[in-house]
Amino acid sequence: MTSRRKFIFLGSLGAAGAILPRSSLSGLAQSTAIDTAPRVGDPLLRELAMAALDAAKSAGASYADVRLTLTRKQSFYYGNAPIDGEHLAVGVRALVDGAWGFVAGPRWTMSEMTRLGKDAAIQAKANVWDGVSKVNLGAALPAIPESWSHPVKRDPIDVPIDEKLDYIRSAEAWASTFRSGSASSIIIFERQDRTFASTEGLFGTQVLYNTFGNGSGINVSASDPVLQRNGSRSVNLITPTSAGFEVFNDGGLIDMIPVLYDQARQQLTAEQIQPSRYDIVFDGVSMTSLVDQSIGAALELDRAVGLEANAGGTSYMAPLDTVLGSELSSVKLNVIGERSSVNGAATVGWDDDGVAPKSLTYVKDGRVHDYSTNREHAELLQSWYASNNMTAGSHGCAFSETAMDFPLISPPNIRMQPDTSADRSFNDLVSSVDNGLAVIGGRCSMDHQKLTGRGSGELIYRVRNGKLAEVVRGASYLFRSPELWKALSVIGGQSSLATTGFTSNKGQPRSTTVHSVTAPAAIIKNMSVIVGGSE
Amino acid sequence: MRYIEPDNEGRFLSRADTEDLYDRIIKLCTLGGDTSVYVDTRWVGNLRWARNRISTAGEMTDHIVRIKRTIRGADGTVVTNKLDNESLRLAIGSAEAKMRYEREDLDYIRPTPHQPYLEPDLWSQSTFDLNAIKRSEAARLLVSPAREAKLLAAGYLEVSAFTRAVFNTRGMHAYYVSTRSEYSVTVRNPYGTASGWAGMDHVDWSKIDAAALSEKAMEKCIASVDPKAIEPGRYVTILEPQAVHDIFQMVIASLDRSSAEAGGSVFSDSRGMSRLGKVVFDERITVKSDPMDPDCGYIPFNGEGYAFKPVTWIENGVLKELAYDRSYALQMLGHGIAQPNSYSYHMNGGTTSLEEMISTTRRGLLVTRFDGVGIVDYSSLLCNGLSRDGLWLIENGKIKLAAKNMRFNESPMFVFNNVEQIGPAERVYGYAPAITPAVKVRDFNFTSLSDAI
Repeated sequence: MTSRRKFIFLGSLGAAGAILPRSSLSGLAQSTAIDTAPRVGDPLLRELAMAALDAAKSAGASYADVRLTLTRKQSFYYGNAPIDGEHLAVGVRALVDGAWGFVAGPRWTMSEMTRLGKDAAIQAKANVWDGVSKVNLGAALPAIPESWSHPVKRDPIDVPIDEKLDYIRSAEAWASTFRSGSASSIIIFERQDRTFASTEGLFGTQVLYNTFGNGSGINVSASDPVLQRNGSRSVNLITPTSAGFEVFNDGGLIDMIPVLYDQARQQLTAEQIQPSRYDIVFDGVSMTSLVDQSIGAALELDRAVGLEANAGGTSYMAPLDTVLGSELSSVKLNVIGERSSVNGAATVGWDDDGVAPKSLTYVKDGRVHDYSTNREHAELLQSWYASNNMTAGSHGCAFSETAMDFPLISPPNIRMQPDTSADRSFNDLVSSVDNGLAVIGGRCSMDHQKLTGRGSGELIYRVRNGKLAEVVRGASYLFRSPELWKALSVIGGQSSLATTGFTSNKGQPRSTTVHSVTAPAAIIKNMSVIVGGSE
Repeated sequence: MRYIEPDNEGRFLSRADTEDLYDRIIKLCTLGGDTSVYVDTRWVGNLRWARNRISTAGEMTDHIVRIKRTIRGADGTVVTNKLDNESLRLAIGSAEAKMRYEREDLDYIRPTPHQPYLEPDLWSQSTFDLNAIKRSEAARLLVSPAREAKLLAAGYLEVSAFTRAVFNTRGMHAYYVSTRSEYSVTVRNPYGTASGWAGMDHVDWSKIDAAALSEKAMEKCIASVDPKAIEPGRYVTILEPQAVHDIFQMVIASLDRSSAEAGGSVFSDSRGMSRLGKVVFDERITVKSDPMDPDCGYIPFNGEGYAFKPVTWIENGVLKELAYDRSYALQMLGHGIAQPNSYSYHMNGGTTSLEEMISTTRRGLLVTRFDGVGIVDYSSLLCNGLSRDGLWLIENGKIKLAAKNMRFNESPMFVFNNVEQIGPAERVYGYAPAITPAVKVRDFNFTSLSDAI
């Protein structure tokens, strides 16, 4: 087997071999810096923001906020030299008589700020309808820090291109040392300076990082020419995270390739699943997908009250007053949302309303407890909060891709809590099942109310007498959210936790945000399993 | 009709603005080689409402410039929306610095010279003039019937004007401007037991009968109350035009010659051949694309500047053409003219009305649209997804009851070989312009129930 040392050697060779002869490069710039826009700490940001706010106020806005985003991107496609990108945006939101106006553009000049501020207020006036409820933002917000940043160890934009290319080309070279192995990588590094200011006196700039792969990963396949069968095993090289380049330094994923290759080979001889009902042991990765869709997306307040009816859809977690406090699961299922964890893709200093997020509890000991909220819609939960001695107000879930987009309720980082009474691993859970399945790397897709779903795994084992038996193919699991969580019987411990970064598409026009979901392995009883179709 | 430069009120870059930008970029590229510049600019105004009131509304502009430098076959690319000279100078330096990581390739294909293109009229003043005040007024009128009927409307109205430009040092100077408008609305009852949808997009806002679409969504909502579960299985199925588009767009996306010849595509035949010239659909199916189509036109060149010509993809069920890029044309066809895919299409209609399709159905289903459609298997184009916003069971020529939504597992290749009747074609809702008819087909495969409404 190829050693890790060899892989490093191959990697360096791969990078060196691609360099152009110096003769044709003599005139080329050494630096790839393209940053000329003001960054965090530059006093110009405050001047620009204040010009927009002043203009909105003068034009009659009772409240206004301005966001400036400077998005710096470096995209690596399949081991080629990266494409650098820079995008400026400024968006002004204004409230007039309880109605929103919003105007955005790409120019960071004083005159443009004035135009946007004024136009936002003019548009808000046009949107005042008689006889409809007015936007109510609740109490004014406390100040935010002047600056904040994700605690990255190595800013991925600043890491030399050679080092990044070396890593990516190495992974591809390493995977291809196995017969039928390949790694395809689209890796994108993003750094965004987000300035927020409002007429309530808030001002601050936060620097947020997002490192993600785009449909990329390590794909190892094996084939058997006699049986005419193919087996494959893919893992994402990277899912959205706010970690810096240090996320790649441990090389853990690349070390997994031999294991993946083994798993791909096992699929060559796998028999087709017998459709039936099975107790299923899901690994942490599979659970992140179920939690993300069936709990996280379902408990977005705007979805639940019908604001997304014409786009992504509504939610089975409605109406609010019957759902809140109702039993979702009879075991101690606890699910929280937060925007503070290190490396969390949705981690922020403050959201697009200027709210410094606090953690929220979606599900408390099996009962539905709360929704993702923003400032505008949190008031819909006022009576529930009052009767449960909870503090009213936004949880800080307002977000958008850039300042070009109107902020919507977006998923925070979501965490299904592990069982703290006993640290049972995935294998421990398997050992407690007599007859069932074990699903690794499962992904699910759900309907427009997050009510019914269908999922499939990267690798599915039969479980017999508490042991992983043969690999099976062709299995999809079907589920209905309320029954799914009622059938949850055992929750794994700390050592079974996995984290996956997800993207969330929302709204019209569509805006994409990212968040992390963490979940332990779990056993779900009596699930319907059919043959055919992936998720 | 000749293209006339509209007064853009500074909302996007005019041809003169774009040419000036290109000239500034070229002056900053001092190291020789080839330079290609891609400029996309847009203005968008939108209004969104839900629960019968405005939820979000806004207006935005943006301009994105992509610069690709190539010297001796090694290239570097940069993307920016900062258009001042100093920013552009740094951006170009950044693109050029990337060449050191690429191999020289003296056989590389140089950028395309200018290709003449057609000049459809894609400008609608009524779209461009629909400002914030008019959008708010239009939406208020559209909401009131739902409110009076004690139903909840969630709608989206968007107008935009956008430009596409491709310039390069081999003479390409393609520039075009188009407007676009879209309207869609979902009407639900307050108990969440019924949902109806209707929508459409068009260059011209005045061609979208938003009031009629709202009415249709409301009727669908009222007719779909309290759906009943029916047994999944193979049904005679009437697909409304939107449902046809929701699955047929997967066929359009697969019209690619090199992937067909590589194998594994639905249009692959044996031994590295495509299925060109073979019968792939029912003989009544004809599908064309034409930038000059008065009801379904589009910008007459793609993002690389390759001209879109009128093309018949499928004629009387026979696969007549597949798209290919310039390198395929050079290597396989001996000419440098690409056949790009616009993803816009016009499927010919028939004469059977929807009412007649229903009245001639002994037992079957009527589908409004599909949601979450994804391809499971590219070689057969097997797709799965769900019905949404209105599914009905037909018995003995009449709508018998509202049915619960179902998941399907089906390939459009099977569906459009099992056609019984075809209705008049109409414009539907899509990211690229599309015209499709309603069709009645045999044996559409619904696999499981969904309680989602």
